[in-house]
Amino acid sequence: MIGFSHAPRRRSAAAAVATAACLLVGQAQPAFAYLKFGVMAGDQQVTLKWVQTPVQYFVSDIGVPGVSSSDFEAAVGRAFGTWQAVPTASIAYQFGGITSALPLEDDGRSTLGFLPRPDLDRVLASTNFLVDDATGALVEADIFFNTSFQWSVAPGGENGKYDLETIALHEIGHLSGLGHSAIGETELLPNGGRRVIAAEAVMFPIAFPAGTVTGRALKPDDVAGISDIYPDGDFSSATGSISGRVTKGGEGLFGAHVVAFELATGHLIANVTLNDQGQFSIAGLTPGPHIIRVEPLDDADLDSYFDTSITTVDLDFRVSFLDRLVVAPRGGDSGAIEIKVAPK
Amino acid sequence: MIGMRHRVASAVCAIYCAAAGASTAHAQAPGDRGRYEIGGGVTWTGHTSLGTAAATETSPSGRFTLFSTSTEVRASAGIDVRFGVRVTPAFEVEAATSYTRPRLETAVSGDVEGAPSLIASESVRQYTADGAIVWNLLRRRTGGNTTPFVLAGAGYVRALHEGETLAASGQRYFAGGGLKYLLMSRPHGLKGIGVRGDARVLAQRKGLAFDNRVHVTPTIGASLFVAF
Repeated sequence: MIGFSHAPRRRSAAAAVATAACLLVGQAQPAFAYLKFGVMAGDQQVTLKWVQTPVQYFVSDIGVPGVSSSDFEAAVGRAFGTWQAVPTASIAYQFGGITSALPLEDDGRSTLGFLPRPDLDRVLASTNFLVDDATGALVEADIFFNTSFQWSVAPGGENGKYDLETIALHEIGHLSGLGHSAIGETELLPNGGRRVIAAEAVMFPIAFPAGTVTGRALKPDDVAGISDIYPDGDFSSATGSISGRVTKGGEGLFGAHVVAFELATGHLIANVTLNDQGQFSIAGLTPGPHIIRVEPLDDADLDSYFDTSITTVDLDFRVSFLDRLVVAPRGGDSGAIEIKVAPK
Repeated sequence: MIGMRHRVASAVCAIYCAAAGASTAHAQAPGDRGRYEIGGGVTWTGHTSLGTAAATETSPSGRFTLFSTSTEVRASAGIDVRFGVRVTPAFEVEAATSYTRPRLETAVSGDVEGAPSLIASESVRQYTADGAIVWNLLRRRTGGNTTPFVLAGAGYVRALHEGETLAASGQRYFAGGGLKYLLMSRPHGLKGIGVRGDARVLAQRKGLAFDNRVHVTPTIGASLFVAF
């Protein structure tokens, strides 16, 4: 029985941003592969996920200049289809219909639509969850797209307008339970915002500049993440994981970004250390040798990844590589490795 | 224990008798050093480049390189054992197996955030099982003690990554040649003891190579053999 009365709406995972960071306030969950949302169910922390699929979603009947409600429906439908097409993940989605309801209404329906939010001048879109406190299961997830920005559904994108399908793809990742990925490079702007130089995950917290459509395809890190939450087929037996600790001066390091580079495929898949022992686990890796790179989590605001009111992330260490190749075995784990980093 | 020794001795005797019988059944050339040959020795395989790869991310203008890598299997020495059967005066078929411990090394460089370049490596255990056809050449002209030969064959390679966490298998093909030199010979029983050296060109696919390309590398070997 879902205890709605005990399931407060949590303004956790936000999403892609205009120029600067933000979003995501989900607590990272220790001892799990991939950065996922963790919620408390009773006295236990569990992964935020849909218990039953297909996940039914509704689309608000409000359009904006250049994007009619039917355009909106088609664009988000394509984005849902992209996630559903991941062969190693079992999650499925179902269009429930057009609704006059708006996102963020606690009506038991997951609704996607436009909302005017001029107060959020750096937030393109946001995902908000309704969670069953007893089980940690997702009950409802609404996504709003901020009408303060200009939107486009043009196949090749439009200058000065954000691609709706790209941003929807990111938000639907949140709706499905994924947190932010840190596989991306940014530079600081004079106004305090950040410009994305490159990213290799749809779930990177900062959007590419308006007019680009490069974010319509999932990357290996996204596929590993969704497959880790909803494994299907031979995902668990056909892929491997690498786990271990990141230490500085012999002490575990919280919040280090650990990236595995697959020599066989060229894929980048990553996670962060999620406790004070500096432990991490990267799942969904192609079996074979990997290069391991560790870097500070400094390409987006920290609250894109963690609830910084309760955690302290150590950024004072140098980017470094592990001096050995680490093999992800098929259907197993590498065994604990230790990566030692030095202060800056 | 005594019974076991007896059975072993009987088996050796049976092989010897069978060999002797086969030897007389074939019309072999004068100076022939027996129908069977067992050898063992050392082998050396040159390094194999597995190519370069860059860790890249998507940018609005194309690919953005995070760092670059270059991977190779280092040259390694190992041991091998082989068994050959002469099927005609000139041709032998042989089966061989080898064991080596090469290192897989990846040089990492050009990190966009200035991480020091380094070489990441692991030790690998590699086993091979091959079959080959050996063509013995010019035996009479070299006075009977030295036999040049050419050979070609194919086989299977199995590599165990460090910690034996993952096995990778592949195919290998080779061609080459060498010399056999008889140190001693006699007409009956153990017909000869000699040394053999060979050089080959080895083409290997898969195994430690994580692409589908064929990688070519030289390999040489030296061994001691007995003929009977």
